Amino acid sequence: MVGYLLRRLLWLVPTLLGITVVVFVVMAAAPGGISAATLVEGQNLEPEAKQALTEYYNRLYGLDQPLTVQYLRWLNHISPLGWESDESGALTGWPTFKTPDLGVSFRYGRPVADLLAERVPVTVLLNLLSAPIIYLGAIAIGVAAAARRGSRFDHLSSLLLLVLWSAPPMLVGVLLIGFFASAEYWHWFPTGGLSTREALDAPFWPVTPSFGAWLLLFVLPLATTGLFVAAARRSKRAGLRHPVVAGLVGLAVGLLLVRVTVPILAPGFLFDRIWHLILPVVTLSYGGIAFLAKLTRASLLEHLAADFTRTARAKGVPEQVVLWRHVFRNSLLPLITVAASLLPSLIAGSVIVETLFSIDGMGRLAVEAVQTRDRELVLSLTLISGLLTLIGYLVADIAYAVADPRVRYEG
Amino acid sequence: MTLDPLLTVEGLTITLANGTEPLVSDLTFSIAAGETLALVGESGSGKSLTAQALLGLLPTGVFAPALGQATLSGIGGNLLVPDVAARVRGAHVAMIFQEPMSALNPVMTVGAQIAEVLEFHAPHLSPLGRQAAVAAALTEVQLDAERIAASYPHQLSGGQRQRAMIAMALVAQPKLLIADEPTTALDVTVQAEILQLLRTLQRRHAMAMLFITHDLDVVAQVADRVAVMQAGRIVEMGTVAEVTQAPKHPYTRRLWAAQPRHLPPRPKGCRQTGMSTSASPNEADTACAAVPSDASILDARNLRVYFPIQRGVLRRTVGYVKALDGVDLTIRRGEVVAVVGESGSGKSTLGRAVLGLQPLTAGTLSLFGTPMQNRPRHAWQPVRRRVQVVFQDPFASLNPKRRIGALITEPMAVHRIGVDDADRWQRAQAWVTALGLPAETLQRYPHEFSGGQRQRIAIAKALALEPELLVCDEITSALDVTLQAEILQRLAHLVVERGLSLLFITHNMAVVEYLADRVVVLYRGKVVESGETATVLNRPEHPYTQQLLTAAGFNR
Amino acid sequence: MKGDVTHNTLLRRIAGMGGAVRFALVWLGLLATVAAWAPLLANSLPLWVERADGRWAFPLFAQFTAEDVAWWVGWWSAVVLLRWRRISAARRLVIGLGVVALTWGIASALLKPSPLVVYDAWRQAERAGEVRHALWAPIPYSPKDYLRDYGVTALEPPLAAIPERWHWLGTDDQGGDVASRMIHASRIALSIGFIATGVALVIGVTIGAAMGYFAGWIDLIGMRLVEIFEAVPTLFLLLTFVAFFERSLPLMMVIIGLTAWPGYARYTRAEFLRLRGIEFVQGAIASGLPMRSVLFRHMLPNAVAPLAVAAAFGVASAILAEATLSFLGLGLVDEPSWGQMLNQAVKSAAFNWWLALFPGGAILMTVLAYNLLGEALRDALDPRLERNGR
Repeated sequence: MVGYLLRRLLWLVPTLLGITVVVFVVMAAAPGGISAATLVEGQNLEPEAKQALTEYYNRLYGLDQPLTVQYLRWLNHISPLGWESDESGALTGWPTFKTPDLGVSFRYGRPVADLLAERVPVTVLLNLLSAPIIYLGAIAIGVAAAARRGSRFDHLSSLLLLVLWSAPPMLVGVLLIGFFASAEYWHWFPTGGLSTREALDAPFWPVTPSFGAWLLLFVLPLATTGLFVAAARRSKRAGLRHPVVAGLVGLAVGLLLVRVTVPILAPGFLFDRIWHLILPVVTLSYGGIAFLAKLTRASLLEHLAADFTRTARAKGVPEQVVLWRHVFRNSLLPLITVAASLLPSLIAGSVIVETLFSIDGMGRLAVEAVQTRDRELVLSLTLISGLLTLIGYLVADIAYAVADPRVRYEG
Repeated sequence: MTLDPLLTVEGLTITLANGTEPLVSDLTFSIAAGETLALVGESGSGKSLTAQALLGLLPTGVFAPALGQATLSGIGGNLLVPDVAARVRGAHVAMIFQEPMSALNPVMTVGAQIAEVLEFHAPHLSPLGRQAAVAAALTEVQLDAERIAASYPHQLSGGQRQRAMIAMALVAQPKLLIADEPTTALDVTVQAEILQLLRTLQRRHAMAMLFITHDLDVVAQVADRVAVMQAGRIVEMGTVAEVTQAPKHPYTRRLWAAQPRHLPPRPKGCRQTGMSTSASPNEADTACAAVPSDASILDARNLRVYFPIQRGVLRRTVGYVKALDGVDLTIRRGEVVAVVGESGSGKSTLGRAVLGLQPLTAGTLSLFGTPMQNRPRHAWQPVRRRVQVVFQDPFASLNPKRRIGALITEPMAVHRIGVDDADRWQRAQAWVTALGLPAETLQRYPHEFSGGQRQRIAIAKALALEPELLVCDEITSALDVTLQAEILQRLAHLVVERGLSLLFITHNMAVVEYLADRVVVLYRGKVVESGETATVLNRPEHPYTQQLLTAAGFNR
Repeated sequence: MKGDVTHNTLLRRIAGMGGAVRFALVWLGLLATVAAWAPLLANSLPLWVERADGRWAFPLFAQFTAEDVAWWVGWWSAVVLLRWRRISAARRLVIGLGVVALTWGIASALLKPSPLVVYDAWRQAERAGEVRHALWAPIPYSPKDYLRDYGVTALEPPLAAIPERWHWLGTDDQGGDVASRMIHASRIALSIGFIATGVALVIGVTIGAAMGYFAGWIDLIGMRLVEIFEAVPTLFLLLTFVAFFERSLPLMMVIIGLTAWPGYARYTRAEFLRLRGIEFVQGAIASGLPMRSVLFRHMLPNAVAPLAVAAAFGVASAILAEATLSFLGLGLVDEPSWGQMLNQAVKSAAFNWWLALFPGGAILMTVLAYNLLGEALRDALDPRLERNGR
């Protein structure tokens, strides 16, 4: 397994380099090509400033030199390992680790690296929140549909999943904002941003008049969730026996009770942030849930008819255990493989979600950069998005190697 | 010897959920403790369905609930009822299946899968107790308990997997074992070992066994009584001796007659003196032209095909898989040479190498006197027509997107056989009829035919080019015994009529005995024995050959 | 024989597949019809005018472009060719494309529509009494007609401005009629969908086939290329292209196609790898058939199945990509687009629901239709059906 992973890690480097080549080729192939003029054009600067900037770029990137040299110089600037360059643009010393010089953004007048450091974590947060929700939701629905194959639940959920998967995030986001975050209909959620102004200065946890009330905030939802789950497990009626759904209902009831009964003086940073994140995360994840749920169902059905399932049943293993211990563990494998393609779509989805909900993340920055023709910013963002995706691939590969012993022992 | 029956089945009937014709009708039989009943039949006879029905494993959406009674002595209730079946599965009745690779869960260790049986049927055992029981079960099937228990199915060989399956089935001490073609997917030598193991275990545990198979050789080795099934009914039942030596039902007789060892000897015609040059298969022409009999069709010396093994981060070549390791092979005109071997012997690689589909690492290959080893594509072109091939898998050997007529006539056009398209069509039609296929075959698509028919189409397609050498790569291994008999007999006739040479690759010694003039035995890429069929079969010299023959039922 | 299945064509299998697929085909047919007949359905210029002095004029037809003619002819040829079952689907496709290309060429040479159109000219003329009779299009507004002669007409809900004007689906933030813009936007959606997918297919299949057939270092390099293009999220790649290139329709199509090819390459490579070792291909080679026959008659037709499925889904994602870009304000500048209209739904303080429901709904239905088609194709092309002949 170590060899397999090492090889995957090694292949990361040429792929990343390849991305830089592709991006550079796009730059070079654009009308006007790469010249300092195209990098500087469209900016509201005085002629002297433009001239100075043009000269700066010519030096920095060697824009009067052949394309390959330009590429190499550019690569040298953006990589964390390379030569430093001095004032005149010549390279000095030995290759060392250095901070990548991603240039300066015109629109913001700040180094690109700083902007990225601010914005990328926001997008990563959104995605990290969405990914487990997608998987848990998809597995719950997929398993339920496969176990009840042919029933009305199965047919309805299949239809619903197909429609959800086809619904563009722009439409769903717009509808959510229009109905749940607008003055005309229900204003349950904020229209945008990640936090209200006050919440940024507020304490992390909600402010309550007494410690008892603060405790209730957590105890109450936990208690209701537990109650509902226990009731579901004991239920005689097969239809009510779904512990996950019961748990979610219990949680919702508990939160509602908290809202109504527990006196809260101020929501605090955490709750305010959560409240702001609900609609964006829903918009980001519903598509993934729909797609993965269909995949889960299909994979489960395929494995439910497999030979080894028949063997497990022949051994006298109870059906529930067959479903989870045998079928599900094998069905997990294609789900992990799919994670590799899910990640780029999540990052792309962030663009729309961030634009709609005015969240200052990487995606929104990219849109603004394109609109203002801030090309350096666009390039860096594309590279970062590629890097993030590759990291995601690696994680997916590791997860797959852990889950599938056939890969683990290949050598 | 009258024993109390352990399993009694009465009037078992199985139908599809939306069908009217029963797939299995009115089955009645019984098995006593310590006894083995073999359920024999060809594909579609319903024998597997019977086995699955007894354990309640038939998928409920596809099949209607099975009718009839099945009772296990000491256990109340009808096994065909789902609740009763659920109680009985694994604990009192166990089942082993045909494909051990797909029948075992690939992501669980073998030990965990065996322990699972105990988890549900011996709940009083502690985890340590379970571990000990698993180790005992694995040892009983002659496996290294510690290593195997920690292994995953893909790390074991076919024989080891089947042993592990047997251990899994027996660990809960069931009274009845149902074995659904457990040795069909295994090599013949491994098969003999597994059958031996089953017999031993059965005696030791006083189990009853229902053994399902299509292979009549196996029946003699493992069963006490036999029930023959045809189209869902039992047509004959009795002791092994009764049914094999004095079969009463015509179907049983046909089955036995189709065994390669019971076929009438093939015609020997002018094999010795050469080939007739008839242009059409309809001419029942046995006139022989005087052609030198030692005209060499194929002369291969020291064939080596090595595949590199690459390991490690940088994929260095650490060794070689030696598929062929110095193989000599000669075939003369009109000769049938059988190449025999088990899986991993290199016989398929040999077939492909002879056709030029597999590059050689070393060695010389001469076809019709011309050296052909590793020559480029265009150099092979004049030889192509004279060497043709039929493969094992009838479902993959015909392009599903083209009609049969086009499939047969296209190569004919390339090699300029026939004066025009109409002529080629007529010839194709003649071949198709000669192989016993219906008249409209040429207009149809491959998916409209059964496996046996597709195999015959593939043969017609190959013979339409009028080759001098036909490579047959396990062409009857996937077919029922009656179909196999028919094809073997047709081939034997064609060899005589047309002076055709055959390179017949197989693992079935009985087929070798029927069809081959000479036989070459391959083991791990090397030739361990070769010679005239009668000599090798009656006086084998190499221990591997002896092992093969014993396992196949010769020399008993 | 196993029953008469000689005419078990693909279309028949799909048609037998039930309501969902029929809905998809009906919707797509409707869309194609609306796109083809767009200039006759929604136009500020009347089809026929009889002036006060008795002379006749055909303003709408005078403004016909080559594109309009090509779409119209394409629609008719599709109607004819779909019924002409005797020749193979592939040949019919080639004939249809040829006819459309020919018509486009001839029309480009012959038609000379004037570049500047005054949309309210004939409305003014009618008000001034210069027109005796006129035959208007069912929706008498062009997509780029912002109704300046009516004053400010922006963001009116459907049927709000009656009896002055009749806007079935309301107006957008520039004052243009939503229904008209949606009808014309369907052209953009459909053409981008098909051509972008076509571009991606050509690139993907070529590279994939080369990888699968030749293997070796071609495979190594090809797979790295595939991984590179798959590593960058599509939208970011699109954004990069858009940032550096100008936004024109043909360029849009090519760009969207360039981001979609890796999927097709993977499928083609997998199929070719599988087919290389399969017995009937080995047999074809052993029979001495020429390479071009092996590739095109034996391998390629059997590799089509997963590609067709992927292409159906691919058209859906191409349409979605264009809509997304327009939504972000990065799409085509002047042309009407569903995505761009969707964006206007929440731009102002109020929720302009008609701009969410109608254009958004159109995107949803179209994507849904292609996804349904893709699923139906996947089920119909199940390889198990070919083994059993059922």
